[in-house]
Amino acid sequence: MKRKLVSVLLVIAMAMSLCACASSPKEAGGSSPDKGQESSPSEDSNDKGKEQAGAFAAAGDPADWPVIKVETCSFTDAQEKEAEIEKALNEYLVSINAGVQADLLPITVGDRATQLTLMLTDTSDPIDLFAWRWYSSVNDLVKNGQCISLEKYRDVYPELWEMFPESVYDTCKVNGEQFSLPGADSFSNFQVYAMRKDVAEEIGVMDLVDTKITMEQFNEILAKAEAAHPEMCWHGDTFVKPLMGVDNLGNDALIGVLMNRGVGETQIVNYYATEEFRNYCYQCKEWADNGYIVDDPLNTNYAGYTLMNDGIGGGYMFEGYSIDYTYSLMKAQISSYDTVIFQLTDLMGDNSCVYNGWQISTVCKNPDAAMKLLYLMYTDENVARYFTLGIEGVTYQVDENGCAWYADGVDVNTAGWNMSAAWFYPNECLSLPFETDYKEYFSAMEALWSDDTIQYSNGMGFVFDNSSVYDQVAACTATVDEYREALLMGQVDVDSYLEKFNAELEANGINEIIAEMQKQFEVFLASK
Amino acid sequence: MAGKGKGFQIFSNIVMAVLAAGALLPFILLAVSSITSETTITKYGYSFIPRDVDFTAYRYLLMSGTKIIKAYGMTILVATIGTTANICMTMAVGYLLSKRDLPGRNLISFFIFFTMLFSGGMIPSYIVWSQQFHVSDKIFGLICPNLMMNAFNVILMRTYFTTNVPVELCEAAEMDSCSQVGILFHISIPLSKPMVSTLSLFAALAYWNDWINGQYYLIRNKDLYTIQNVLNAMQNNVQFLKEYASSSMGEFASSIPSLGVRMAIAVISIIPIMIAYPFFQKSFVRGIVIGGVKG
Repeated sequence: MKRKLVSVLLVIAMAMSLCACASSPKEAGGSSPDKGQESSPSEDSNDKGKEQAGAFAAAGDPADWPVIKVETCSFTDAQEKEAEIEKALNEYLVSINAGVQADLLPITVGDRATQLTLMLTDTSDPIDLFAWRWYSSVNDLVKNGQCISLEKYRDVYPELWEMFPESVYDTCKVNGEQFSLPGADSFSNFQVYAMRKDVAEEIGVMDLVDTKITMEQFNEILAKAEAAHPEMCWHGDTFVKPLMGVDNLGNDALIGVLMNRGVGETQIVNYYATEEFRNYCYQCKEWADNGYIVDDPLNTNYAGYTLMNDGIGGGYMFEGYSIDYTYSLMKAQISSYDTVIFQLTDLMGDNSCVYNGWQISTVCKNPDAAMKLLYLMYTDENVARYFTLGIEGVTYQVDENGCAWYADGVDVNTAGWNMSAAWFYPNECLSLPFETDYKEYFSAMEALWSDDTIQYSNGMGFVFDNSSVYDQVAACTATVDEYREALLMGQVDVDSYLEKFNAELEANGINEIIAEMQKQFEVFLASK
Repeated sequence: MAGKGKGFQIFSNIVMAVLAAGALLPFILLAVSSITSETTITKYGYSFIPRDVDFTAYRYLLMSGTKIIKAYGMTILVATIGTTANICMTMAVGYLLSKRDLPGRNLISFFIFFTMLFSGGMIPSYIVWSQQFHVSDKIFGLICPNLMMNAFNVILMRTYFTTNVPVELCEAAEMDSCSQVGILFHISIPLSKPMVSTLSLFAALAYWNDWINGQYYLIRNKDLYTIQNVLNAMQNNVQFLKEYASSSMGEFASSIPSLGVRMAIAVISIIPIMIAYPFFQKSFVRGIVIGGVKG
């Protein structure tokens, strides 16, 4: 009897297993690229698209066009509109005779590193186009054989090499060869301090709002704020590169940096041995001693906006390219309070300002088609908007100022598409400002690309090949992880701790790293 | 002697009490955190005694329950199928290896033992499972890789069969024309209930708590997410947004369920195991003792 029962259970389990597997992944989350569309772009922009894509159009039945799998950015696993958006995008691609169709693949940011690493080995169902932001660096992608050179497309798509300042393209090269194309951004920034408006009014510092202030003025503001509200903290993270004044040369451990954010600098230095770092540590210590930093900071890993939204923090530092832009960001990040902005540093561009780039994977079976789609993502506003905003009327709507908002009856939880990550895609400037009244959000950003007054680091595009000092780099990075945070959170005596920190860095070979970096940097400068 | 025994007993009880507290306290903290508001946790940190009792997290789970219930269902389905498959394979292989006259027995045992010491690694395993067996985005992706057979369990099972099932009994059955499958079902398994229960519990726990397979093999088909995958995805996304939120991600960070909700999901995900465990405990302890001593 028991055996019969076990057998019945087994049969039921197997039957349920088969039923669960009956739906294909496509049915569950994807869509066929050649099905009909529900929403189409406007006629005018459609014509523009045809004009742009015409030179690259493929003959034949669209059903035979290559389908390029391209990753999309997701902060949650709720991307229910993916199939609908993919269908609409592919209808548009057919309408402009693009010769290529897209297979959108939302990858949640938390799992992205693991999933992308695995997918970049998958030749049977390859991912074709992907971004390096938060995943890797161009140098490491090339070292690991995960992306292909784009040099052969330079003559086919020259526009793609003419959009941004030249030095920005250098950041996506390895040994002078373009492996990735930079994602549109401001490519320059300054440090700002955001403070609760009610506090700023209460302590009488509104006259300094929206202006560039000195460190003395900043400290006076913090002192007044602390005196008025000792229950609050005034800093989240103090690891803020523009304020620290370094070009990190792509390495957040700051092992070998250019001072003055690299502007006019040709000497690689050990930042932790500089007076500038010592003074910044003293400053952080003073902030901590005065009660400006959150309690127990080494065990409290909350973002500045979280602290402010929860009423614990009264202000925090972050980066932006214009005061208006920072207010726009504040609106998205801070729901509980109005805020004001103080500018702390000048606008400059360094390696840390190039946040993203797109490339074709080595497992891609049709690189030419992938490049076509990448080209359209950079240059065709309809294609770009399907990625950044989804479908007009379904996921978003546009107001009279040309700014996009959630469509009627839709919010962040029900949109079914991530519209808060335009910066993830190749050209966010083709999108529309989202959930903001700041209609110059992207045009102001774009204007910076041709602004000759902006100073850029001499190190833009320098990629350090650490293979000859790999062990030293690993050891020094571990040392930095161990010591730096306590110093930047003002939790230790600066002089004694810094001495110990630097002694350990030297013992681990930081001077050898700096010497090797300097050697390579001089070759890099000579090649420019 | 008696005094020494009593002292030792007191000492042992104290040690066991400390160890038990060490095992229990995290669960208490988890439960208390799930009924504490996010703001209180941010402001005052974690506490064993709740400063304020707030059931928002559980209300959230009840309100937006479809996803959680679906994930719960998937967990039960995967754990049921996976455990059944696992125990069937473990018993079958263990039974075969217990036969001293099995040709190539030592070689097969070595191959199985070898996998306890070395594995192919993440990427080779992924390539094999996704490109050869095509388990990606299918329920098989949650069941087959890593968990469907465990070398350690096979060795335990083999040892149990070898040492607790009298050879004479099997030989008598063979003389009565009973097949090997018949011997397995009629003699070996009925005599190995403690070990079968123990290994079933091992397998069920492994499937219940697994999130790795979902992360590796469910790239697109998130409908198959188990409760652990949902929890893991939330945790990873929140951690990510905390670390990298330098632009307009604040809105999303606020839309992701709070710490309390994550704690509440963790609480509800361990409840079935806590309920089921006492029923297995007797066999579990017996199985472990016999398997360990006679191995």
